[in-house]
Amino acid sequence: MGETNLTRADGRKAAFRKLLSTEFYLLLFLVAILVVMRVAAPGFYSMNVIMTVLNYFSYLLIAAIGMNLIILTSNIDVAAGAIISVVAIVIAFVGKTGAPIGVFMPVGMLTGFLLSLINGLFITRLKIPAIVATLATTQLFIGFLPLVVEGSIYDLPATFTWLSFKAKLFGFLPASVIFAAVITVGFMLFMRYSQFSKKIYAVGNNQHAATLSGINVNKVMVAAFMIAGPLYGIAGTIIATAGQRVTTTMANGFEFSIIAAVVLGGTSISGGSGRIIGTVLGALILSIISPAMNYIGLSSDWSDAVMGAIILLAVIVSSVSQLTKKKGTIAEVTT
Amino acid sequence: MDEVLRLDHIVKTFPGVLALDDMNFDLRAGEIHAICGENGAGKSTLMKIVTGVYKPDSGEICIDGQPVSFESPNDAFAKGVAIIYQETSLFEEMTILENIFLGHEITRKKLGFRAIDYAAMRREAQDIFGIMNVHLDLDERAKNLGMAQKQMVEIAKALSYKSKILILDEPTASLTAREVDALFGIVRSLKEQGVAIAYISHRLEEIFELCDRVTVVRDGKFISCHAVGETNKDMLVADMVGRSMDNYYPKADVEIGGELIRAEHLNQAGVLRDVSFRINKGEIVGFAGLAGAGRTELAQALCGFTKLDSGDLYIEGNKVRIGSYRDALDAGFVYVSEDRGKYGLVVEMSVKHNITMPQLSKMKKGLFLDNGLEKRTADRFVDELGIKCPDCEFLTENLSGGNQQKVSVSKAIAMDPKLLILDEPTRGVDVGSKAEIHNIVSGLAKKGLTIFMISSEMPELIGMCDRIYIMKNGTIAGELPRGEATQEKILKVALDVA
Repeated sequence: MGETNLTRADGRKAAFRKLLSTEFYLLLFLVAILVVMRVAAPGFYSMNVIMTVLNYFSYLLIAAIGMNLIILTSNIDVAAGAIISVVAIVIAFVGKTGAPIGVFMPVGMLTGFLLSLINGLFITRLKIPAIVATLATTQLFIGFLPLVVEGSIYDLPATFTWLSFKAKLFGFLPASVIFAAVITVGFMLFMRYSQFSKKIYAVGNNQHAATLSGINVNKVMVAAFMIAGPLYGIAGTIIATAGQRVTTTMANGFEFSIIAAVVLGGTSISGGSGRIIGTVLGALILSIISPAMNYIGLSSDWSDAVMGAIILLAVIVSSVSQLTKKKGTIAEVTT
Repeated sequence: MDEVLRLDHIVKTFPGVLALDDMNFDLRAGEIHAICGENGAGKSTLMKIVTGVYKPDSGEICIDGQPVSFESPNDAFAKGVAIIYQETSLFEEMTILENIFLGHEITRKKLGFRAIDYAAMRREAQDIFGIMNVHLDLDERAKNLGMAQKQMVEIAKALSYKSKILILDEPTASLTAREVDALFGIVRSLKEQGVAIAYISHRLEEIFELCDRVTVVRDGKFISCHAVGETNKDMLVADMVGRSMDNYYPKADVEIGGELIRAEHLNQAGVLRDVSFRINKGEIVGFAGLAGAGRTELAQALCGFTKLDSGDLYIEGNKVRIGSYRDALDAGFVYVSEDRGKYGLVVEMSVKHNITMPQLSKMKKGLFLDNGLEKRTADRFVDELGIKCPDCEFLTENLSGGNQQKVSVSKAIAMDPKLLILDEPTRGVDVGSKAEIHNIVSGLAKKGLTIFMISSEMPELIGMCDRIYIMKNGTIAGELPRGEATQEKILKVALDVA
């Protein structure tokens, strides 16, 4: 019979290959930064800095998890920053009345949900490529805000900034970190154990085959946007409540950091492959870079360029490892 | 035997096309029923109706005697209908296990959620592979599998649905002879277990080897249905084309000139071993062998797509070194790939643009392209090769496989090569177009073009070629001149049966 078995040696090689994943390299890189900082700038390890890093990391990660789902279905969402800006203004309106977080956070999530849903529907119903659709809605959302609000909403009450200043576990751990942790674990379980997550990967891998497997491709794509929306909402809430003033341009351009975290985390920009753990590491590295550079005495002007270089490096490493893997595993069809 | 599937008077139209016209088909438990017909005869549409991808305009589908209506592929899966497509539809970045159960994962309640039960899926997958006598690592990603392995996974996927009806669409198109045997073993054992199997194939030999009945379709219509014992290849071919096929493999007599190419001791680690051959001007030289014997690899090395480790190549007696395809083109070699869609054509572009693409630099008038010259060039080939299209501005993707192949060949000969390398020129092409392509190739040889032809269809090589080299395990295992070559002799060398 034409046995098509992989030998045990192949299996061991495969296990080794699996270990040398993107996540592994990212972890190495992260540890390297942390060690360098320990030696070069011990002041980096102060409570204050760590908490600042963690706070930024939290909302970047929460938004990036949503973006990851969208990119996995081989779409992209450049409107994420604009949506978060709108969310911030909307909840500032609600928060100005003295409403507690139990009211304005759900409002923020609902806002994110609706705006993201609009993107999803444009893409699936009208067959507009994701980059074009979300580019257009970005302008629309950003352009709409100054018409409603003049510059910013300020003098927000203490009930509004409660999340950032008062809500701390054990007196030091910000609530945003708890949110991020719960959401991350939740989505890790979701990606492993839900049937729906398999459809997300299937759609990203091969839309045609997914259709033939009885998957409603449009539904899965819209669902990815529908899930990402509330996550943007939570991220927007964390960003907005950091101060008593919320401006209309609060998160404009933030989409690039979100997308960067996802791509750095090893998610293929063409969809179909990538894991939450990668996004976590990607977001963490991006969160650390800017303050780290600050502490070793480099001007923050450099941080964008350095981040760009890191992303480029990550993409090159993954593309090179893809190429060598392909070479090594041209399947033997002759036996 | 029980009839499990019956299609009655199915009609399906697409805008401007009558794809199925009063089609009938039935399938019994425990039989293998072949469906054959030219490309575009309606086989694929028929299968997509059975699997719920398309809805018929009229007519009735019955499963186990009950009329059914499929709104989506899921409805068909639920009724036990599974299909394995010609191009495997696996998800490359996902594991074998995830692929097998995609869309119907085994779940159990965990903390109030329906969670995927990987352990149960693993057990069931192992059971299915056990039945099939296949051993694959369930955690391997599909992208790391060979074609045959992918097909095994597809079959396992079908079995995981507990399908009663299994449709195989050209399953052997890219398998080696040995893998085909393994596949047939699996298909026969499924038949023993009472699965009803519809088997679509271009290879008539397979139908007689494997199947119980055969239905022929042509132009969307049911033509005939026979037990295989009551029919033969000629009858089937006649049913498929609606005319007799006398000139199946024509070969015009051509004067053979002096040596054009001589290869000596070509080596490429793990792929080619000590390959030596010569080709004379005006010859059609065939390269036979099983899939994986190194024929395509040899052609690609000649064309500079891959690098040779050692060996010498002479063109008209002069030693040459080919390091890239550019060098090969300069030397006068042109390669026509077996995979038209992937390497041969840009199907989203017009026939004209495909034909003139490699030599746009010759089509310039001043700074700009000379549209008139492009059009004249393309029109000449459309005319000479009989490409069936309204005009040369027609999009290539809307042509049939055979006509696309003619565009591929046009593109190659428009470069005015010395040596035309054809890799499986009639793969996936219907019977009528096959004869046309044979005529074209023969006509080119008559004009003095030298042709290097790889084919897995032995009658085609025997009919067309002046000489045939037989490859095995990356080396030339034998050579037969025209007149001495028979299928038995070729096969014996290819299989190394002394």
